Amino acid sequence: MWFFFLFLTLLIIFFGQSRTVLLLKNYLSEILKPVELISDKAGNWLFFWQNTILNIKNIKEANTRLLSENLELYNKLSRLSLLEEENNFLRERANLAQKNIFTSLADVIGRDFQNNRSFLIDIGTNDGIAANMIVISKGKTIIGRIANASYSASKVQTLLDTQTRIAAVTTSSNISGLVRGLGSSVIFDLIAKNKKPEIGELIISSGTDGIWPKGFVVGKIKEITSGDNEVFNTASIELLAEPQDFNSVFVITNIK
Amino acid sequence: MKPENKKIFSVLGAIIFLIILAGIQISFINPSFIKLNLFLALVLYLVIIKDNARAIVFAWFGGILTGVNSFSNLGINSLALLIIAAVFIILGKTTFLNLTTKSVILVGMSGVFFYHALIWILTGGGNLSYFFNNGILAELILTALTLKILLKFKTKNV
Repeated sequence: MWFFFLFLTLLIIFFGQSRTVLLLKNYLSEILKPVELISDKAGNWLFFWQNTILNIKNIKEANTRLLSENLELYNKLSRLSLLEEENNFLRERANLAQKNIFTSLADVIGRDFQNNRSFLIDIGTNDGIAANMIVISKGKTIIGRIANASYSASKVQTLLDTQTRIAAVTTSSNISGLVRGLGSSVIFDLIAKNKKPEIGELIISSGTDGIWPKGFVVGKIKEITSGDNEVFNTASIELLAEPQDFNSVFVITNIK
Repeated sequence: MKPENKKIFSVLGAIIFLIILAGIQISFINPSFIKLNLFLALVLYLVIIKDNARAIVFAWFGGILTGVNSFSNLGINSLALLIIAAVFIILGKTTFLNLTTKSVILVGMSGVFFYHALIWILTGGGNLSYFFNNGILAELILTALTLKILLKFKTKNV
């Protein structure tokens, strides 16, 4: 019997991309959805109180940090409003329409075991979702992309996944590189040896890979590694949106 | 009830049980602070009580269900659970599988470690930091504890 199931499993793995296996996956996803929705509701209630109790110390520290950051941001905001005015004026003159991004709101209904490389959302092909659509959170922050979509649910592959590769650029120093997922963390790789981005600098997608749209925030530079024998510099990234920290996401369905 | 009807109901009951278990695993346990793989614990429990046939079927179906939302390909979880079931069934026939606390803890912990090692290998290896997180440590303890509790109930009812 063991050999029969082993054979069956190997068949499923080897023909993972075939229509039959994908159909099986879709059906299983649909069957699991009602149980997942109920478990998710119960889980959300429990996790809210779990997080509240476990994070009191962190919240206090974050509050102090945010207060000082807030003051800095007010300062930047005043400068930005002036720049925005100027920018709008220039856009009008150049007769450029501002980019419209159309999104669908989705709730997270399931997560991967022990890591955050993927999660399930409650919308699928029925809602116009398709594979490779980009998933973001508030503030145009990239979370990942749709790995596959069934009728009413979809699997999102997060930035942490080892298959993630995003052509990106730093905002201030304009240094380009490649954002790569390592499974439990994300790095900014292939930085030219003679260039060093600043710690805390924002990284945005450059759009040069033709897959990820331009101008979406990936994270902040946390630490830069530069070995003498290395051809490129590498930096670790602090994600602005940790995949486990939110219950709702936006899926970009169209950019005009 | 006719024996054939009883058989059909028991199969249906098992399928529903596994679907509910998979739903709880994916949407309740995975996002929470509770680090426990229900299917791994279930397979180890069935192997310890020598219900080998059910252990193999549950390992396969449980792996497929949880594989629907896993970063790895569909079937990898099944393969890992099937290998674990086979290894512990063989070990049970030769050596240390019994109901003593020491044995149950050893089975629980080695099962978890072996499962993660298999997943790590089957998904192409990569960063070793996969093994060095609090999640796996918590899972080692929780799986052993869950097995001990389940077996305590089992021996009480026998």
